[in-house]
Amino acid sequence: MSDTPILRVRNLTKRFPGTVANNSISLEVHAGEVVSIVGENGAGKSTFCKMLTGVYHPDEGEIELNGEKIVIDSPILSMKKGIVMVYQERNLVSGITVAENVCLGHEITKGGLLDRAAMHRAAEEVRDRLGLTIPVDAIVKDLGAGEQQLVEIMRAFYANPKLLILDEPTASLSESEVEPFLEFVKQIRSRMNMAVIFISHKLDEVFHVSDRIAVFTDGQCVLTEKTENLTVEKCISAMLRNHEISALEVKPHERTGENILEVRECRYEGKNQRIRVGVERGEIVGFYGLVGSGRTESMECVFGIRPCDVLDADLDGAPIPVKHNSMQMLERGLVMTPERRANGIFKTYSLTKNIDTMFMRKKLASRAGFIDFRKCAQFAGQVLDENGVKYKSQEQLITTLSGGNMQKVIIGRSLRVDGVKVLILDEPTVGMDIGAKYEVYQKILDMAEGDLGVIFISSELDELLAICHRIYVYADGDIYAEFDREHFDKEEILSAAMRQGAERQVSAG
Amino acid sequence: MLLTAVVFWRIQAHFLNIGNVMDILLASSYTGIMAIGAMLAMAVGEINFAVGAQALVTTAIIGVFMDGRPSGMYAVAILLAAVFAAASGLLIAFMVVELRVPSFIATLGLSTVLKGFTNLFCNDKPFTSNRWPKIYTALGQGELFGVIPIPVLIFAVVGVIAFILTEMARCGHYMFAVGSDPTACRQVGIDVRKVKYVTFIISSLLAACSGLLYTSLNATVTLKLGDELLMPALCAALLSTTYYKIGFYNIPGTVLSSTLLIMIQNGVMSVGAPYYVKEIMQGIVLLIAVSVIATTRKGGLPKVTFESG
Repeated sequence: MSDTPILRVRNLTKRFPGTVANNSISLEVHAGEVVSIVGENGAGKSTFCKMLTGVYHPDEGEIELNGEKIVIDSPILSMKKGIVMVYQERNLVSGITVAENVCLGHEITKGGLLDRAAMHRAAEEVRDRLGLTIPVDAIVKDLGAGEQQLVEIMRAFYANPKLLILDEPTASLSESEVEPFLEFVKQIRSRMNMAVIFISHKLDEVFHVSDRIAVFTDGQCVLTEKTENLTVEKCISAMLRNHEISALEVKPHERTGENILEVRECRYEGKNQRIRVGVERGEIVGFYGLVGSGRTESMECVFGIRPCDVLDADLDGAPIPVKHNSMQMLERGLVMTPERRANGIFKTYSLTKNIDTMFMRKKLASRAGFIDFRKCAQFAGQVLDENGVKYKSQEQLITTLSGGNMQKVIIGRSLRVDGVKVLILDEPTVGMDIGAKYEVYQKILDMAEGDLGVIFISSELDELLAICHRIYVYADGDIYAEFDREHFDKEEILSAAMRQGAERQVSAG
Repeated sequence: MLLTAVVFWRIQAHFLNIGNVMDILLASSYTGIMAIGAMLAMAVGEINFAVGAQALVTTAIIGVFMDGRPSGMYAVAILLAAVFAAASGLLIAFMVVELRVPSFIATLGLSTVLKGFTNLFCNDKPFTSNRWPKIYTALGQGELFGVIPIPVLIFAVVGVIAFILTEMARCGHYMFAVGSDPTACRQVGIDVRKVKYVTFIISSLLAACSGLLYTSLNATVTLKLGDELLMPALCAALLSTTYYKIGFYNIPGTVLSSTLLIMIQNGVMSVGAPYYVKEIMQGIVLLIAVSVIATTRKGGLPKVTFESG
C-alpha cells in the first residue's frame, strides 16, 4: 500500500434546498483496499458518490486523485480520470452479446465498420484480467443476475479504472450468487491492487468484503474504522445515532398444540407439494426460502389470491374451502400483505383512500353503500398515528412516502381488519434501511404479543432468526425442514434451503 | 367551454338562443349518456369500444320490433333491448374476466359483430316506419313545460345518479380502485371480477339508453349511428380527466365535455362549415386538452389498459 491514497476527499459539503446532504465529509481510499460506506437511506451515500462521478458538484471541499487535486465537472471527465461506478440498476443492453456490452460506447471500428473480432479480443482481455470465465459471445439476457453483474464490472474495467464504486451490487443477486461475487470483489482488490468503494445495506456482506468501513449518518461521516476493530452492533449504533432503538425482545412462546391456522395439504399448478404448516396464537413463524421456492405461492393459495388444486386447511377450527377468495378470508380474519409493497397500494391514491378502501364493506359505508367521508378521514388518521407513520397530510399520495412508512400503512390497516387472527407478511422489510426494519420487527413482536398468529416470509435469514419462534424452510415448492427457536442453526437452515436445489441438479444431470 | 360558447355567440348571434341551447343539450344528452357508459369502463381500467354498436343495435331492436305493433308493446321493446344490451355487457365481461381477452379487442370485435347484425336486421338500409305508434317518439321529442326536452331531463337524472354512484357510494369507489390497481384490490378484499361484470353491464345499459333516446328523437334507425356517436363519447370520457378532478375519470367532467363537444359541433355547423370541420375541431380539442393534462399532472393520465388484469 503506497502512502498517497488513490482518493482523498476533504471536507466535502453539498447543500440542497432545505438540507445539507453531505456535511464536511473526509475520506481516503488506498490502492488495494475495499472501503465500505454504510448508512440508512438518505444518509448521504449516493450524494457522496454522485460528487465523485461528477453528477453533482460539491459546494465546499476538495477531491484529490493520486495526490493531484481535481475538479470533476462531468461524468465523462470522472470516467476519464479513472473513477468508474457500477450502479444498482442494470445498465446492460440485454439483447446483444457480452463483448458488445463491454465495448458499448467505445466500439472499436475499422474503416467505419465495427471490428467485431477486435471487440471480442478486447472483451476477452478484460475478462481474463479479472479472472472470469464468462463467454464473451453469450447474449446478456441468457446470463444469470450474478453473471450480468460481472459483465457490468467487466465494462467498468474496460475503461481501466483507478477507483471502482459499487452501489448496492448485491441487491439483485440471489443468495447463492452473493458469496462468489464478494469473493470476486476481494480478488480484484488484491490481484489488481484496485481501490474499491462498496456501498451496501447488508452489514454481513460489508463485514465480509471490506478492509475499512465508513458509517454515514445524516450527511456526516461519523465513523471510519478498520473492519477488524468493528462489530455489527457498533456499526448499527453509529448509523442510528439519532434514533432510539430498543433491543428486540422475543417473548418465548409456549406451544399449546392448537393451531389458529393449520394447513395440512396445499397443492397448486398441478404439482405435488407436501406443505404442512401450523401457526398458533401469539406465535411468529418464519418462512425461509428463495424467491419461487413456494413460500409465497402456498400462502397465496391459502389467502385465496392464487388458484389451488387441493387445499386442506383450517382457520380457527373451521375449514377453508378449495375455491375461495380473499374477501372471504379477510372476513374470517386472515390478512396477507404482498411480497412487493407496490402490489398492496393504490399508487394514484392518497393515504386516506389507501387505508379506507379496505374498510368500505362495513365500517366506513352505510348499509345502502354510501361512503361516510368524515368517518373515513378520522379512521385513516387513527391508523396513521397508531402506527407512527411519518406524513405531512392525509391527502398526500401514498407513493410520496418512504418504503418503511408505506409498509407501516399496509400493516397498520391490516391490523384493523375486524377480528384479525392471522397475519401473513410477505417480505415486509425488503429494500428498507436498518432503522425502518427494526420498527417493522418491533411491530411484529407486538402483534404476536397481541395474540395474533404471524407468518413472516423472508429471504433474509438473519431477520427470521432474530424474531421468529419457529422457521419452516421452503425449497423447490415444498417445505423442506422445520426448526424451533432452541434449534436455530444458521448453517443447517441454509443448507436445507440449498440442498433441494443441489439434488435437483443431480437428477437433471 | 365558456370561451367556446362566447366565440360562437360572437360569430353567430342566435347561437345562445334558447332554442339552440336546447338543441345542443338535446344532442348532448344521448352522446353524454353514452359517454358516461364509456367512462365507467375506463374507470375500471378497461375500455368499451362497443358502446356505439350497442346503441345502434338497440335502435334496430326497438325500431324493427315496434314496426306495426301497438303502443302497449313499447315497454316490451325497451325491455327486450335492455336485456340484449345487458347480455352483450355480460359477454364482454366474460371475455375480459374469464377468457382474459383485452377489453380493447373484445369490445372492438363485438362492436363489429353487432354492427353487422344490425345491417342484417335492417337489410342494410336506414330504417324508418310510419307504422310506428305515436309513443315511439314521445321519449325523444317530448318536452317538459314545453321547454326542456325529456332526453335532457333523462340525461340530468342519469348524470346525477352516476355522480352519486361514483363519488359517494362504495360501488364507484370500488370501480376506481379496480382501475387504479387490481392487484392491490385483491389484497384488500375487493372482488375485481364482480366489479368488472357490473361495470360492463351498466356501461352497456347506458349505451342502450343512448340508442333508445336517439331513435325516439329522430324517428329513424340510422346505420351510421354507432360510428357517429362513438368518437365523441370516448372523447368526452377521456376529456373528463381535464375537468373537476384533474387526472381522474369523473362524471361531471364527462357531462361537461360531452356538452362541449356537441357545442363545437353545433357551432361549426351553424357557421355553415362542412361536417368534417367539426371532426377536426373535436380532435384538436381532445389532443390539446389531454396533452396539457398529461404534461402537467404528475404520473400522467390514468391508463387505458390494453391487457386484462
